[in-house]
Amino acid sequence: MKIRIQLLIILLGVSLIGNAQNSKDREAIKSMCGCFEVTFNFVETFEYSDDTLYKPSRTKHETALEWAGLITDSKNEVSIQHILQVGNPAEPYIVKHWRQDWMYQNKNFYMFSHDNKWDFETKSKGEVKGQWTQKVFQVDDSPRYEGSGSWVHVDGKSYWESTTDAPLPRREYTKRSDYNVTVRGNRQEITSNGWVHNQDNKKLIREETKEDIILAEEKGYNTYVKVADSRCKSASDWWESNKDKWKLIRTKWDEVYGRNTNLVLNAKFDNKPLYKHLFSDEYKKQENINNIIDSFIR
Amino acid sequence: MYKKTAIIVILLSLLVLSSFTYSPSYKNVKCLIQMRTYDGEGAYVIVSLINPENKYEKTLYVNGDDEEWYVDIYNWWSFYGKKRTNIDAITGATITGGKQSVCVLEIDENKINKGYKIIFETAVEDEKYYSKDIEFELTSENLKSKKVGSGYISFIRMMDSN
Repeated sequence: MKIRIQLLIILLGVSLIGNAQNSKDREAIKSMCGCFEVTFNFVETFEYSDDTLYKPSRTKHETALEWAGLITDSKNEVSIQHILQVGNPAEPYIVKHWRQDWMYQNKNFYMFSHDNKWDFETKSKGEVKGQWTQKVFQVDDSPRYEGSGSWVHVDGKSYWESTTDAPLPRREYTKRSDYNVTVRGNRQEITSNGWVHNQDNKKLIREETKEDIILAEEKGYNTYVKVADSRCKSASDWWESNKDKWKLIRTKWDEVYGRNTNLVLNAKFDNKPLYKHLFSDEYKKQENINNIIDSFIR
Repeated sequence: MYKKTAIIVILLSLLVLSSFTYSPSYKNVKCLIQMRTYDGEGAYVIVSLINPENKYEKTLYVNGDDEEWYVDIYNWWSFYGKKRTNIDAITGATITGGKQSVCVLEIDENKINKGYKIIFETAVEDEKYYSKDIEFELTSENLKSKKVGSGYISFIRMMDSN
């Protein structure tokens, strides 16, 4: 009887510690919400090409104002939509940007392979114990990259790390075609005034049945400094007026991701990429949205 | 006798060396491009030299100077985007529907009548992409001829004055 009570106390203790960790993790994730002044900084560091005519990417520094809104907030899932606000503050231009979903102890993954292909993979319960998966989506809510890791709260710091394969970002795929996979070393750290997205990336050439070739490496250092929410009012208002449409789009994608099979997407349909279709006013009803997304799936 | 042998050896070496050193001889050929009438943005028209193995060898002219859209000219981008050679001197503006434009193509005379081809690729934002709007053999005959397009190009006229 005594042993039973002791066992119960231990189990209760473990569960309480687990809950406290989960709640600390969620708090860290949700602190990425709000209005932020953002700097995007990328520089190519090491080059491994034998080609004497090899050209590295230009160093990039850009700034923006970005609003990040909470769209799902439950014990095991947090979803954050990022919206860019650019141009004249009196009449800003709003661009729906990326979305990050965080899932606790998630076992199902769409891992980027190359050339618009994502492989469906599962991890065991043990592999993802205590971990959070970050799923990152494109502006049209199609997949980008996913990775799993533990949130670490130590020495007054809170950070999460993961390395995963990803498609090239726009800043690269419109500038060069000599590599086709970015291996992203992501580190997201919460700071006293916002958060930092630290990246150590590899630029990879991947071809079927051949060994990967590392062409170069890249450092990314993006800072998010929290500012008054009022500065992002245009972006948050835009999201308020458009969120219902994007909920329908997420519903369709959830059905696609729920198929649990490899995914290959076409770059264009009717000569346009998916975001151009979905950003237009033509797609407001679930049926139309379903049809256009289906037409991109091979 | 020794001197004579040495001269022969030097001459022979020079002959062998010269057979390995390729020296291009360029000539400029004017090309008039007449677009057909269509609705939409200006067209990107890329002119490329294709070698006898059917691979891109050189970019001859680029009508369209916004690099952001080069990725949409799929076949050429997979060649050009790898090295990104300097094309400033051979780049002009996009050509709108119904308009015409003249460009100058630098042609290596050693490659005429040797199995090379010239292709014209065209693309318009949110419209169809033509990987071979026009394609023809690089022959002396064709450098003085008119060719009809299958996409946004109505026709081109090559004007080799030699």
